[in-house]
Amino acid sequence: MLYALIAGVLFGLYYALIGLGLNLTFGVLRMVNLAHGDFVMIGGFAAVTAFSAWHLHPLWSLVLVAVLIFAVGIALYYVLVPRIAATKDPEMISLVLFFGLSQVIEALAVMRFGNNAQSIYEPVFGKAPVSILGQPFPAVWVVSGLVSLLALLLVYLYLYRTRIGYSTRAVMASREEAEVSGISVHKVSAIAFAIGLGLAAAAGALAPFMLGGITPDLGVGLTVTAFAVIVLGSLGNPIGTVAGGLIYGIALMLMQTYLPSWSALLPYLLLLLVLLVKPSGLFGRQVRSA
Amino acid sequence: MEPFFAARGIEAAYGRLQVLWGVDLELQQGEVAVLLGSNGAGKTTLLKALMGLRPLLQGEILLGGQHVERLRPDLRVQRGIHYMTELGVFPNLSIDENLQVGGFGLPRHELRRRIDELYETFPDLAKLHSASAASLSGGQRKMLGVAKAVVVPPRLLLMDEPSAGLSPRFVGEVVAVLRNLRENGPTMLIAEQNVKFLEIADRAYVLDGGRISFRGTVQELEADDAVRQAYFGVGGH
Repeated sequence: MLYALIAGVLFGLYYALIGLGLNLTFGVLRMVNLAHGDFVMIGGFAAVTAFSAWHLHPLWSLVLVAVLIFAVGIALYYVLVPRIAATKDPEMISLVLFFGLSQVIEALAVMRFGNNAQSIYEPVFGKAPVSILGQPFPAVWVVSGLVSLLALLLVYLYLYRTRIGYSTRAVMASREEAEVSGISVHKVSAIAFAIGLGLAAAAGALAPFMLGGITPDLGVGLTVTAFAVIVLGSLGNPIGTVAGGLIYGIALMLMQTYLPSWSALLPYLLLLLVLLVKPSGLFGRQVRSA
Repeated sequence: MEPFFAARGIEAAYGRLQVLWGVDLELQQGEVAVLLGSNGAGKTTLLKALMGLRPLLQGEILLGGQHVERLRPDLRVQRGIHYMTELGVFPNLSIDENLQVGGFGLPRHELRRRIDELYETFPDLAKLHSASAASLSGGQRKMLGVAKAVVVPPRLLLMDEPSAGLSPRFVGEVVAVLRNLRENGPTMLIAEQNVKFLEIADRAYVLDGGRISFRGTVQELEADDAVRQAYFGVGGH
């Protein structure tokens, strides 16, 4: 039980990292990026390729791929989002468009890497297990948990300790109010969107260790998982995502321990449960109207 | 004399439904005008159109003799047109963060100085500076909305129903704050249903069914029988 709980926290931090990017994007754009999981997959293949070609340590790959995909995210925002926003039904158009983008990325990945799972099989984080409260865990789980925690902390500092972070949260609250406050909404949103994709790619660099192997069709399932995490913690609430990730991670580990054949259903079960019991998510707040 | 602010022939729509029909407004520098109108008269749509949040079907908007009707809302803010919406604040941000967002673009040290000045004007906000805007009462939230709108001193301040949802006591407080504010000179256009705001106004417009049905000084408005009946009740206020 203790093992499952601690492993759940480590995996929960990792899933929070995957979900946070999606939630940032949803928060500023009110659009669900259905290609989000595919950027995790890109990060995964990038880390595997960089390791096999140049023996580049996955943590270096993580930083490089996050920066690179951040730049891609800025360009992608200005190519896609203003056009989507100008349509009569931006939410629906964005769903179709990001789904299409997801399919294109997956198809390109199949062409480049084939359908077989790829991973990094060398113990790049050492062979010795790390002991937490007397329980031994693979070092890579602990490293992934710590890296995820660091990334979540950096995003927190960005959102809650910088002026552009305040503006990002302002856009999340009301795009219109932000515009008339003089905020350059597109600039702020482009940065948040790009950070979201960069986080996904960063999580991808750890995916060969946390998810077993990388396949081109990994993206769709991860998008669903990320969506479950952010709905659990409340859409548009970055802090809630961390809680959502932890709950998901712990629930996943408990199910894999006690009900392993049901664990694949977990994201869907959690989604259904939250939508039925508390549709605003666990950390959804109503603004006082007094 | 060329007016400081002029909106001419403003027409705007929501989808296929036209809401504003040839609206003309003019304000001299430092003037305060109240735009009276019942619910659905088109007051908010007019302010949004002036701010660039609703596209114009027709019309032109000039500030200081310069056309602004083609500018994005954030660029109109840079030109000095500020808009206090009915929401007015970001509920997920603290008071201090709201004011910092209101001063978007100001250098850091100047922003801090302006916020400190505003805390002197609004001591209640200073006491609660780290509290979430969502936790404020309606009156406090309006005060924050006003303060946020003037972190960078506006040339023209548009206000959408600052009395909405407030008890008469808080309405009086908001009017007092605006009376104090006008001494420092921003030109103001206040969309309201509450005639108490006429106390601080030089000029009044009445918007009815998306058209201006009255324009004149406050004294002329108070002397107009139809307006008296509609807004003050028969026999005056």
